Amino acid sequence: MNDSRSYLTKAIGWLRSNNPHVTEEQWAKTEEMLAKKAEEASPPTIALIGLTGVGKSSTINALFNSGVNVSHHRPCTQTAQAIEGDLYEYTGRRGTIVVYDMPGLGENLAADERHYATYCQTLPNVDVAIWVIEAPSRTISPIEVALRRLRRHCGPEVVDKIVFAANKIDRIHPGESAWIKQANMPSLEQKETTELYSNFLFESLGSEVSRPKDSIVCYSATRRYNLEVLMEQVGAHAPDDRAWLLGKVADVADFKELVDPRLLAWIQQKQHGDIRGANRDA
Amino acid sequence: MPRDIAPGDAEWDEVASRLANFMESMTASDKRRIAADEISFRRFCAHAMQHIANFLGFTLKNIDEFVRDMGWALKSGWQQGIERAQVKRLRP
Repeated sequence: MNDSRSYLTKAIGWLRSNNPHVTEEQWAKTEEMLAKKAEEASPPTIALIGLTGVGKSSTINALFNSGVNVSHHRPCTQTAQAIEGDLYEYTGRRGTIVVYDMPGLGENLAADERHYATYCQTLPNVDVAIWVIEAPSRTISPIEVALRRLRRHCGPEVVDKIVFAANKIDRIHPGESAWIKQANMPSLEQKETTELYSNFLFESLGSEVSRPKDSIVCYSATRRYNLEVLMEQVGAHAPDDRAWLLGKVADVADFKELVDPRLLAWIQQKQHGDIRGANRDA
Repeated sequence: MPRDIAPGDAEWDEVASRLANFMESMTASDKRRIAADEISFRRFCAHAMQHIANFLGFTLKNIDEFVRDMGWALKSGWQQGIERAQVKRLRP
């Protein structure tokens, strides 16, 4: 969604042909006002939840700045009551997002209670929330409790804007040494463990969210693995008329840059060979 | 450290084949997201257009249909969405 102006022209063209009663002058004014509204739309706002060290920053960098660290964030002025955690403007290569960086649950009950109050205050005001979990963490019950309470106090729409992002699957059983470096992919054993972990999350959180299959994504920010699916789900959990703003600033780190070029060449050759073979058969 | 494989290893072809499938699924995911972003942008336009039309004092016809057709286009892509919209417009 990097060329909103051309989409705007297409959209207006369609409506124009369906509304012959609207004058050219009115269309000109409408187009001008619409472009202004699109330009002035407030930047997308993301809540980032997770314990220290789970990879929140690397996830944001991987989705919105090609995996490159942003040297500094501009803190935002708090307009409402102070929240726990940080509120900052993150400017990647394609634009700015507002990030509420909030602590995760599971340290202790008193802290969890404070964090929960922060979620209640913040989540209704964001476009989407990414709850980063370090795979294969099984400390899920505090999250389940928080979701249940959030649903009751803030409504189901607040819970349904959360994507549960299980990071670091490159370290999942039997460990990082099993990751296939050349392909930048999990080994078969890691793939199996990832599926089991994903099922575990599904069973634990499935009853709390409306679309559990879509809300849980296993990935690795540092290996850039499965980021496209994570970005797709981040957009899918944003409000219908705001997801395009996330797409506009998305700059997903390219996983193929970490793949051995010989493997990519092998695949390309094979695909060309298949096409040539199919053409011969035809 | 992650493990190394090399061309000629028994595993090479199997890994390459899995990688090809994975790359395909990532491309498909990317396409779905871009299609969804287009729909989202049209929803934004539709809402904004309604406000603008009210402000300028005219009524837009078919704006709900516009959003609905674009919702359908999410599954089949922009071009097919437009074609469908055109076919519907020609329907008696």
